[in-house]
Amino acid sequence: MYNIQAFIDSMGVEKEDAKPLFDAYLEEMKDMLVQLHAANEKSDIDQLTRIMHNVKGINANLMVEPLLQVASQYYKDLQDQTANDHASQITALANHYEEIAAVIQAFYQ
Amino acid sequence: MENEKRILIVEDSPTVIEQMKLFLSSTNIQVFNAGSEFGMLQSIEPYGQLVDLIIMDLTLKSENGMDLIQTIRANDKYSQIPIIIVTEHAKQDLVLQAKKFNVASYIKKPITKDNFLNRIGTVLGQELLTSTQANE
Repeated sequence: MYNIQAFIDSMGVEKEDAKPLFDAYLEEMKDMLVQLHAANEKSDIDQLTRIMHNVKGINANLMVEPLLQVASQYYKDLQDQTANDHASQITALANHYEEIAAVIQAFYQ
Repeated sequence: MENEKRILIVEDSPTVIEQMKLFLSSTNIQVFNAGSEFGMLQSIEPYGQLVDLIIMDLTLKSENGMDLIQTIRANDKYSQIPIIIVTEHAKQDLVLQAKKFNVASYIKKPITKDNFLNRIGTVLGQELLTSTQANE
């Protein structure tokens, strides 16, 4: 599970100061999941790869390990052209996102 | 503030922009940001004064950061503004290419606070407080 406090501590900032960062993260991830579904409907592998590159990047920056692991593997499979069943991969990402979003929202309640 | 430095971040990920702003929140650096060439040219000279430094992500979603660096370097007015590029370890070829355009430094992703502040501090010629120093 995502250790949000450990990440905030590593940044050397206060909890409330970090809230805009997590708000931006949740919104951007939500947008990218929509874009992934759209790219998959068009079978646009290049676009899927580009979006997954960004998904991997922001999850690495925020040390969101559970999502980063899934995103990194899917991105690698896309690059290696071994990825299949994109809908299931995107659904798995969306499920992880929902879990992370719940952790962040609970943290800021 | 007379000594206040001004940085333009050229980055189209809202998450990364917020993270960089957070890293810089403990400094006296004023931050502007843009996500495109148009935005960059609009923000490079806020209030009639050139920014002191540009942080450029080489892998923007819809534009090529290298093209934006060329645009800056081709303009006499902007050609001396220091640029720090943000890129991935795997994209060393881009770093080498960018060095031809006289970039001052580069930051590898994922970005860490200490590395980010150290690189900026070196280029601006001032020490910025890293998280390690802040905890001392």
